[in-house]
Amino acid sequence: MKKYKALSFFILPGIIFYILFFIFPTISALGLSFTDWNGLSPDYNFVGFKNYKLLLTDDPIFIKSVSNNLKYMFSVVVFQTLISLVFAILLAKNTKLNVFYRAVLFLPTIISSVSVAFVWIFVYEPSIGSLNAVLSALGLDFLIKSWLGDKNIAIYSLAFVQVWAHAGQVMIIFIAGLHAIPKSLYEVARIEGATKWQTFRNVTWPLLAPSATIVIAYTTLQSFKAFDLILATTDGGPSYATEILSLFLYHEAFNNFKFGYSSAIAVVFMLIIAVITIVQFRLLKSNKVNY
Amino acid sequence: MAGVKIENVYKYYNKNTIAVSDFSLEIKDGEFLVLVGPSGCGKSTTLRMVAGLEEVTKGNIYIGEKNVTNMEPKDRDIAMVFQDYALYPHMSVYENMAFGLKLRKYPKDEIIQRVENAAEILGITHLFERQPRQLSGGQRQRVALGRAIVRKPQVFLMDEPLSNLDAKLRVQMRAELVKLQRKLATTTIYVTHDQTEAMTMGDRIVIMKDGFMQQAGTPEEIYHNPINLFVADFIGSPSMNFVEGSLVTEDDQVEFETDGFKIGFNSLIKLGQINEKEVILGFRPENISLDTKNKGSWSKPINCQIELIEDLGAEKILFMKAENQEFQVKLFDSNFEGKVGQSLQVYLDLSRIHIFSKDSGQKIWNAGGGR
Repeated sequence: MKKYKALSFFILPGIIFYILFFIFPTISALGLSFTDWNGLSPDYNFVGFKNYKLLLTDDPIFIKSVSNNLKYMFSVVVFQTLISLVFAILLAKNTKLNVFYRAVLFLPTIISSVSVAFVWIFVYEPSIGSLNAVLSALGLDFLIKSWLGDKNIAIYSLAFVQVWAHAGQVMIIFIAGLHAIPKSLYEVARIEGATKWQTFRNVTWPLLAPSATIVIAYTTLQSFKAFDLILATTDGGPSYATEILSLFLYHEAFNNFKFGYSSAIAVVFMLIIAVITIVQFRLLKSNKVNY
Repeated sequence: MAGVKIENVYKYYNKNTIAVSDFSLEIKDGEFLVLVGPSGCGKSTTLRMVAGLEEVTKGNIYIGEKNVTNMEPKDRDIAMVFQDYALYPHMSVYENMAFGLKLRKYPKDEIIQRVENAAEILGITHLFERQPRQLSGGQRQRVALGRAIVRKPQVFLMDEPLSNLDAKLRVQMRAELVKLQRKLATTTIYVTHDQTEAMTMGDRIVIMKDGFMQQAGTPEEIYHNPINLFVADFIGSPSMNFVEGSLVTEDDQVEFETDGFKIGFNSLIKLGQINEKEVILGFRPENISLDTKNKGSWSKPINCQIELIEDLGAEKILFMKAENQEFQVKLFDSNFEGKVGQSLQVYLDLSRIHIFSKDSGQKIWNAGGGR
């Protein structure tokens, strides 16, 4: 008993912070979601499920945001996983040059999202941006676009930036996974006459599954919770083409002063993330490898 | 089936790191050859060069009549068993065993038949559906062996396959492996750092140190006729006793003299037969006796004291001291009742002693093999 007393004493600070900054705001958001509070006035009215009803049945921007979120998530998860896997395989060997390249690829991860946003605003700028300049110099003028201004491609342009910024980080997870595969398994494959592709399919990929699990889970949540990059580049535009849930919530609260309504969005948002996380862990749980 | 010929093989990692130097050896068809030595001696590198997993810097390797020096591992018709078993954790036992055959596109019926045959030999048929993580160390090792034998290769290469097993299982698997090899009669090169494994398993043993082959021979040859101090020390447990001293002539007889005792060689060593004066005398712990009742040509008594007794049940190891010289005596007499601190007289079996050069460490003389 005494032991538990001591233990509870040590975890107390953590618990206090958790309650103060997570449990309390969550509960108060839940409470506020049933009101029409505007965020400023001292009084507000209880409106029952009105906010939820409006959100789920009669708000086209909510639907648009969820769909943007899904587009963003799928492109980030698919491309970030594939690109970082390719980099990991290319740079897995511990040579000096590879260590250098890994550092270069990892670099964007340590830059703040807002800085990344400003860099890419310049890259994507339609008339003086470097991307269009390069395309034009290569004679690929037909590819020149208003990367952030075209509502059909803006969300994908941003997904690309997200991949650029985080592929290096994910690559490190894959490299760690590759290094955990015993060398002898590759040697057996070599002796048995496996081609490079057969080796990848029979050895590397199945044994990389635990790393892939972490990567996919991490990337999914990361992309779903994206906020600052998009806020600093397009702020949800053009015409809501890049409005994702977190931005929608933010705009409703701080631009439109609908705190009650945005609290309802926050609750729904949290539920969506909870569902995705649970589904993901159920699906990926079987991917453990025991040597 | 085929023999293996290794011809003046060198392996340099760079100018200063020489892993294997001028290694030549012919392994007969069906032979069980053991490469043994301390870690870093080049034994695994040699094996991996035969496998094709390491490039040969210089020299040639033949399997049968074929020069395989520059061939890919898959074209050499070998199978390798690794220390960590190297089983694919995501495949079942059956899939692991069938892996190589599938890659080589054997017909399905033949794969099933071969895997079943191999599994039967190894007694692992009931494990087919299991994953490697559900197996014990011994079972995993059997599966790894199974994967090697299904292909019926020309040569088995085994890199410390028993070192991950516990002591008891290791002894059991040792015997099973030897029996299996005899049954299949496939040329086998086996790497180990364990001299007991080498002695008990090999038809022939090759002892390596610092990339150089020290000696090759049957276990008996190597045990009774070690070519230098390193081999003499490495093989045998407890290892051979070494006593530094000098050879002197007294009354027309060659004698070995050191602090603590003197040994006359009677007529075993003739005058002028050994030119070196400073030598190291080597004798195995079991070639010392507390009496002279048994057969042997015994030396004069040596006075010494018991420092420690290790009782192994069937035998006892006595740690002795004669003035400044320390040596061990292996007694097979379980009735021995000596105590630590007790003074004793012991006798050396002169027909079993070895004399090594103090300068070069090479053997200069032994009773069995002459010069």
